[in-house]
Amino acid sequence: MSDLMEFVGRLHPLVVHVPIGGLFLLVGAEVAGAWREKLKLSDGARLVVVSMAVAGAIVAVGCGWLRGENGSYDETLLDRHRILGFVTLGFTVLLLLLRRRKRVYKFALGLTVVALTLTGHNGGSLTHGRDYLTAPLAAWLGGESDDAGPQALAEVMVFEHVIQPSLHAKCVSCHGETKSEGDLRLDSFAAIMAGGATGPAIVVGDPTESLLLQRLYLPMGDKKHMPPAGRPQPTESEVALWEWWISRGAAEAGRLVELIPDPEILAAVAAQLGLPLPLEPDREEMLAAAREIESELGVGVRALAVAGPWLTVNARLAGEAFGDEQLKRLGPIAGAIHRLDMGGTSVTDVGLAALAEMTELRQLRLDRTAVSDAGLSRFAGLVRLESLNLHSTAITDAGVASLGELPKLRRLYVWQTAVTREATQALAAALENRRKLSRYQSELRTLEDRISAETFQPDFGYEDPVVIEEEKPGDGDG
Amino acid sequence: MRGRIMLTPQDIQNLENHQRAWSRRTFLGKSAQAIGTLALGSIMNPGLLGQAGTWRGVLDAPHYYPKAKRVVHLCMAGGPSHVDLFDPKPVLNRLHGQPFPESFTKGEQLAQLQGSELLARGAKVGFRRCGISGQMISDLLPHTQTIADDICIVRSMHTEQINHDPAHAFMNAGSINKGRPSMGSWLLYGLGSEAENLPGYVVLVSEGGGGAQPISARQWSAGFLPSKFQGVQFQSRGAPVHYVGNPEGVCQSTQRQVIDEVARLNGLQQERSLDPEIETRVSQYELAFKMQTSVPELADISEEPQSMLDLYGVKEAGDGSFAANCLLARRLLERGSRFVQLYHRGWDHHSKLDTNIQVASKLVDQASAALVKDLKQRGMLEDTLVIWGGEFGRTPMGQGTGRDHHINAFSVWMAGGGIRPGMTWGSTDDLGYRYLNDGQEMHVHDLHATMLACFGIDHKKLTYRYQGRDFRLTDVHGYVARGILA
Repeated sequence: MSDLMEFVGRLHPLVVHVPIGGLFLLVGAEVAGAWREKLKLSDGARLVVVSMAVAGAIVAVGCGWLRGENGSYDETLLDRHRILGFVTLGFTVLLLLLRRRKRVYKFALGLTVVALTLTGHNGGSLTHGRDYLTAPLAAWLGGESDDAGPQALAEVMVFEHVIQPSLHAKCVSCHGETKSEGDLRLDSFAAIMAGGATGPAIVVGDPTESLLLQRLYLPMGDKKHMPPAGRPQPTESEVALWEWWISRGAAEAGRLVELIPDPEILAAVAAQLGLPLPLEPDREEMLAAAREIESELGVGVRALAVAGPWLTVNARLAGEAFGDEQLKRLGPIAGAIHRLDMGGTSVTDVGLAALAEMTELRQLRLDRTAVSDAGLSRFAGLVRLESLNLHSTAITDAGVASLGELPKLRRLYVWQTAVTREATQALAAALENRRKLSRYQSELRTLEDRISAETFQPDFGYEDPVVIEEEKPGDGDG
Repeated sequence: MRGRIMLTPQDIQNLENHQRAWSRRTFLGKSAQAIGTLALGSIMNPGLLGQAGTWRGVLDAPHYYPKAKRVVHLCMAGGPSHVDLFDPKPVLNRLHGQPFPESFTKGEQLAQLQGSELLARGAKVGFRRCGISGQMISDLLPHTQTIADDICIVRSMHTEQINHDPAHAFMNAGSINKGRPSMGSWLLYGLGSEAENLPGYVVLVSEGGGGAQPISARQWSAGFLPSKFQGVQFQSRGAPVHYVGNPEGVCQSTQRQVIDEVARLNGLQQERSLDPEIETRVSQYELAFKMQTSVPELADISEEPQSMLDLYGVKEAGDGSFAANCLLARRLLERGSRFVQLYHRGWDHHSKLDTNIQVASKLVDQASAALVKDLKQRGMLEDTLVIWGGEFGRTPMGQGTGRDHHINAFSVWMAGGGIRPGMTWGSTDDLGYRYLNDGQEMHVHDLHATMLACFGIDHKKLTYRYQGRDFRLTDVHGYVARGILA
């Protein structure tokens, strides 16, 4: 029975157009009649049209009531829509009764059309969201919006710029503020985490266990598939990004670059946001610059592999002839250097300032150089450095302690230096603590988000059990 | 610009030279030699030559992100016994002196044990769990025990050749056919060398230990590759290279003039006949000139502190010992040599195994371990691949007081250069007779494929066209043992 009710309820968006058509036809005919006598509506014709409008309005109100009972809509909007609906119906009935009293009739017709317009707009807002109609207008009037969004991949915040917009485009019209099917809202991070009637929308770290994606994975024919058949479906790359975001901890805050995404993910994000992919230097450009530097400085510069622009630089070949000046000359290829061997060269602490540009550096050799503790302070930007060779240099425990800021450091060579075992152990502990800390911080953020997502829900005991409802596809039109 | 081939006048001249040489040779019918010049297009391409005319390698760059830059191959010529050193077999020890089960040996190829009664022979010296990794290493190798956490022991090695000379050829070149390049030559051909003043591929043969195994220069031959890629053998006793000093009355500038004039004359000849060996000759003259200063500097170990000599166990520089050669090898690797091969020739223990294996172990154990430790403390173990092992193993059956050659199982260890440390790979049956087909078997071809993988080279893609087909180090075989790559 309830299925039949549901069916009838869903006829509402269809049926409402009967009174709408009738009433606007009436307005058109009355205006035409006032202009030319021969176009005047006969009493009989007026009776037919007004009766049709009344009958349509009654059916529409009935269907609408059922729809409102079964759907999950914003309460205040729904109430307003219902009141306006009844007012419109009332005016229509009034028209039927007063159709012979010319002046009152015309006045009532005007009021009916106003009420009808308000009701219709309200109904549209219920289905499509409050700012459905006005948003494009506002954008057109306002030109470029104030928030221009990220200008480069380095600025992209994963949730804010990538995940949320695609959820808004594909899900929020039914799972948002005005309409939240299955008690699920996907229009804010907190709401996503809180989930809906069937449970949490996502399981942090596990895309395949996340309901949001499970519904998406169902075949199109399945009635539980989301978004419902006929609605715009998320693209493959959008789904891939959602999966990736959930598998990487589904945090609200967090920059794209901090999660060190795969090239495919980067490409997908860049495509979605229309941003260039500037993260990798151009291979041909780097190799051309490398050739020049090789012949100029007598160092060896080789590509690390057939793909990618990444270079390994062997300055050891040049020996003492390679110093601070020469290090500076590596500038054009600085962003592409993965490995830099300056063992036995004459670089000094001052020259190491040039390392600031080498943000991709993985392996750095400075053994048997004049580098001391002061030089190590220049390493702060080397966030990807994994291996650092400082054997036979003047570094001390103090310098080693400052290396605790290098998040990826795994190997440190301090043979034949004044560095003590205690200092390296302290560094190892500091690095480990740092890794733990950042892990805990991200866990903490997730927990905080979850707590803030928990809404106040009074408990009325077993009499008010949680109703597990099936998802209901939204309206197809309206 | 890209997508179009831009020819410089130099390129055009090269091309013309090439065509001229081709047509004349074809005309003269020297087809065999001519086919060798087919690959010249790449060999002679000046774009592949680096700064000082050094060879940059035929590969523009490695196929994959590389870990290793250099190899040092500690070759234990003669065939060390795996069941005595790295592969403990309690069942074999229990069977000691009893007949070896026929089910293992029936119909199998044997070297000198053919027709004799086969008796099981256990290990005399015990094994010990070493390091955090707990790898089993014999007490014969107390120093190697200390680097257990840095090495990967491969117990499932097997080869196809049961006699020394072909087995060495197989281990070095992946084939017993003459004319196949050795692995060091392949690496030089593929990647070139960073050493500008020293050979990229150096062979050191150690003395001591008695019963010196015959080894031949064929083992470091460049085969059908241009001969500039062959290994250069250094003298192990005294100066590594003889006569590097100038004769009386000849100064360095005179020497330079001589070299330049010879190069000019060779260049004239090269314009007339395109022979890669002329190119080789020119580069050898140049290298030899540079070595007049670089070799004495290399061999001068006075800058090494006493503690370093003690670490390796070097008694006297240039005494030809394995220890002195290990130290020299490290100095070569530091200076950019691509491939250094050290031979110790005291491992063919057909008789008096108990004493001989002690002698041989004592001669190589400390220096081998010291080399790994020294490379590690200098940060060089990250990109230096160390390979320790023989051309085959020895039978778990006794041969009088010793053991015979054995190809179905033997052990090697590897360290550094992208090899996962502190692990044992592969295993043998209860008697150490045959490797197990457990997905961790390691044929010599697989060892080669894995070694190249450490350099970021796909062993199927490093090829050289010769006699009408593309050859490679692993021929048509070889699987990379991904499980031992870090």
